[in-house]
Amino acid sequence: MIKHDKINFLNGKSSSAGITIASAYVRKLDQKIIVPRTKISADMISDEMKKLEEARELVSQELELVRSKIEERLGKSYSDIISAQLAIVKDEELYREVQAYIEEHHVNMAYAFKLVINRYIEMFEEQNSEFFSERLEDIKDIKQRVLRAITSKKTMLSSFDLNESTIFVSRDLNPTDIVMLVSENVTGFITEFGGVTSHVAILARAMNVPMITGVKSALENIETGDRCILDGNSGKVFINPSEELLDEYRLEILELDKEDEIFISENEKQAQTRDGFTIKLGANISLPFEVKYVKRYGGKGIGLYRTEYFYLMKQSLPKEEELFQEYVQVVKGMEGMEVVIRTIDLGGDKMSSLIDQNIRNESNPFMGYRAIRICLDQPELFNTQLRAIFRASAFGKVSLLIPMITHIEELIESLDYIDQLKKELRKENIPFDENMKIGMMVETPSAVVNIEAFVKKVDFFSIGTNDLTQYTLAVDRGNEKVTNVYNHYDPAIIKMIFKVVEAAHAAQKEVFVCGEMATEAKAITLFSAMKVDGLSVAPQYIGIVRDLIIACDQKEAEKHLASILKMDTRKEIIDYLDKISRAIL
Amino acid sequence: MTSKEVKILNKQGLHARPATAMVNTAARFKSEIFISRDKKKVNGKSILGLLVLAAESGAVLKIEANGPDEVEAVDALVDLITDHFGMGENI
Repeated sequence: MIKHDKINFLNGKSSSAGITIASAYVRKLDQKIIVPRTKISADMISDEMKKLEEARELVSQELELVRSKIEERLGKSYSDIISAQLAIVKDEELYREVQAYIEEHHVNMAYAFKLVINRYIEMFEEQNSEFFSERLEDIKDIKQRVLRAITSKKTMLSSFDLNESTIFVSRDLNPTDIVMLVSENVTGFITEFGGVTSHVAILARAMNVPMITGVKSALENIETGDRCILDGNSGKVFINPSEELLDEYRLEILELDKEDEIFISENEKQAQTRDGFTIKLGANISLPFEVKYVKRYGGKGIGLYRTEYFYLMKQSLPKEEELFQEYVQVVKGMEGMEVVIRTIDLGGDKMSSLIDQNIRNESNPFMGYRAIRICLDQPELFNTQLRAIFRASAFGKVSLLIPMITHIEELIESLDYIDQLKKELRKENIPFDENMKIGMMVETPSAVVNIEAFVKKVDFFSIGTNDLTQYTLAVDRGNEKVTNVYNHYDPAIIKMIFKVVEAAHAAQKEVFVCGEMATEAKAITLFSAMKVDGLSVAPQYIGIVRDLIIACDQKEAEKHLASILKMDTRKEIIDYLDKISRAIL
Repeated sequence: MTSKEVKILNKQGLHARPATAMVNTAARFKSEIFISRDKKKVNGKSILGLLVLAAESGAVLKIEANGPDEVEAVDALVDLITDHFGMGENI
């Protein structure tokens, strides 16, 4: 046999930070479970059906276990993500058809089961409808689970046998996999695909498990049992690395852990520069259970609560009461600190089939049916969210944030809905915060150019640097071929951010920055020079950013602002910011 | 045999959750239940069957039941569908 040379270094997109060293488990989903066709006699039929019944029971139990784990970790309202799989495994018709096939052809049940379920898979594939693509995945998942249970009498989890800490390698992952595997000693994830599964990355981040996506040919190059270093900070994977490299990484893990402990022990500290300028340092979260990380690291509020992830995990559109329960958990959990709740930012790379049944048919989704555009097109969807947010405002300090505003009419229309809703709530005697602040995301060039018009209408701005960079430089962040174009230190971006800050401050209004940029030392220097009022970062970054702010000298940084704004190239800006950051940090 | 036609009203069509609600309702009756749309006819007690119908909002389904409680079964299913599967108009 020819043994192909394997590559011992791979890289991909860092989707959840952190480093882990562990042995790999490679799930080859496309690896077919071979099911031979054997003839059986008539008197064996009932035994065969009994075996099928047992396999099915095993899978049901496993899924019920997963369901309880999901409820435990994320809350009851998330168990929905597994309900379709449970309904399919319990489908009586499926088993009746298997039995009928066995009775007619006298074949073994494993073969009959595979044949019958494949017929359904084909039917779904023929429909070629995005509407059912998620169900198709569910059926395929059930097929694999049941066949595995038939052939090995083991459930998926027990067949993994993950006794020690493991890096899980697969083509793709669904939210169920993540929750289940994290409960089972998995300390890192590597997937070949990325992109559309961005809600999976959010879950990994939320659970504090490093993940690298888009690792090409990971399944070819990594074998179960290989010892790997997964560096989720840089997106690097080392397969069977040298002892030297292992030692280097072990040391780094130790240092990071130590640093983490320090950040947690110092979580009472204020994010204030050396010369006394306070920057509100909040956290970006997607799911309520992240509040505990925010508090652990000493976040002084939630600067961005991305509510769309709840929609992505539901099988049906959440009702007002469900949304209210989600929001109120966060609001109460933050004990009076500000919580900025953003209405759904679906579209772009994450769309729910609940909102748009023809998802992924758009040729240019980032320019398409997205965020506030969806809400204004489906007012009842908008209203449900707004009601839940307003109701939650009675339980703490809530602000409302509207994403993807490009022109003033969108904002006016949104504010009209809000005024209308306030009237309704008053009439219904439902308590809410009459002074709740309403802000908008600034993430498109048109919003920046026209910022003087917007500032009259809102209480605050939140700049989304990732989207602002993408739309301003007309560059797709996910496209490797143009990564060199994407850069948030481009003079255009710097000038735009400053224009927003100036306009807001002239009107005595606040500006926050959320986005990856807010975690970099250079950017902290820049934002404190501009006197940005607040930053919002992932909970795990709060400690690092707080230290950067504490080390910073605001007045000193501000002296350099005029020269930075005059620079023509990215390189000049980056080099200069690096230089002054070292000097004043 | 009893049968009635009914239009899917909820915006999402016969998605996984409404289909599960239909199966649960159908399972309460002894009668055999069939749901058909155009030429496709499936067992009303099977989630896979119902999903195969791919019934979007506005699709017309024919509900048929055959057995001791066929009238009640058809009525219960028609009510469920016209009531947006008991999940409110948003779904």
